Amino acid sequence: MVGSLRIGRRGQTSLEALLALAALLCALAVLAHSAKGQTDAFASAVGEADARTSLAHEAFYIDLAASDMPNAALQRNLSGVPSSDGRWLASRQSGAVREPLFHKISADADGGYHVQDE
Amino acid sequence: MCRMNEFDRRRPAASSGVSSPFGRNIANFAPLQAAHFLLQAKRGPFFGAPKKWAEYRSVGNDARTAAFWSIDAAFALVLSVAMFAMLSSILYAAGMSASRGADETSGVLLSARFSSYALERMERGGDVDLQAVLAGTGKRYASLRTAGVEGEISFAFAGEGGGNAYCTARLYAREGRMVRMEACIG
Repeated sequence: MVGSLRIGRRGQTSLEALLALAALLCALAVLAHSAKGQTDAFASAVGEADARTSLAHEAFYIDLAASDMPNAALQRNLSGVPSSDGRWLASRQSGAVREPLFHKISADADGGYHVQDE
Repeated sequence: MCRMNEFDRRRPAASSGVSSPFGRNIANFAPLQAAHFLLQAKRGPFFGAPKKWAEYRSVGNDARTAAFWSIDAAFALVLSVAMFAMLSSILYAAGMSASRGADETSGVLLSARFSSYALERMERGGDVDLQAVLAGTGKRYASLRTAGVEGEISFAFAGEGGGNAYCTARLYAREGRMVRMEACIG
């Protein structure tokens, strides 16, 4: 009698343990999914910020050089891509990030830029 | 028939669990115990004297089940959720901070480039078409202000103010006098 009760209690405890484990796993899955989303959003925001900062400096160097040296060829390996009209510089890493230019440029075949005379 | 061993003599099986009309006991499953406790608090005890909450948690709990539903486990859960919320808010704040920093860098450098462009145009003797600047940069406001020692010389603006505008002020020589030019764009 007592032994059967003890077996019953043990079975009940196992069921509780299973339920608790299932609840814990569900909670962990929800937390992991949420954490992954937040980490992705953070990585995207930081990557975009990095691309914007880099592109802003690059646009600054281009406009500075263009005002001092019209028709200059900038032969550096730059990270931006000029638009078809030559008035915008877009990031290679993040296409949504772009910076306006006050001078018109075009891409050279060797990866640099050429400032166009206006 | 089973023979009682030493363990059962010290700890009688009759005291394990809480009496309930639904069965032998509500065992140690905390949600069921909480439901039973609330029901009897609302409708009166099912059998005998009403039980206090402490009795549910103290009667019939062995060390194994107590570990599942202890106050320590509850604290651990609360702490986990709080730490997760803190981590989330820190990540969000860091992302926003990086984004604001990049926007500020971009705005400051754009206003510096705008001031250089305006100076370049003035040195060539031309005017600065602020509407064209707005159309070309996709911004909403641009202004140029020049001032000498005697006061403001000229001020021109285009677009609508109210948002964030970044300004760059610089000195240049104009007809033999030092003039301060402030270029704003945003």
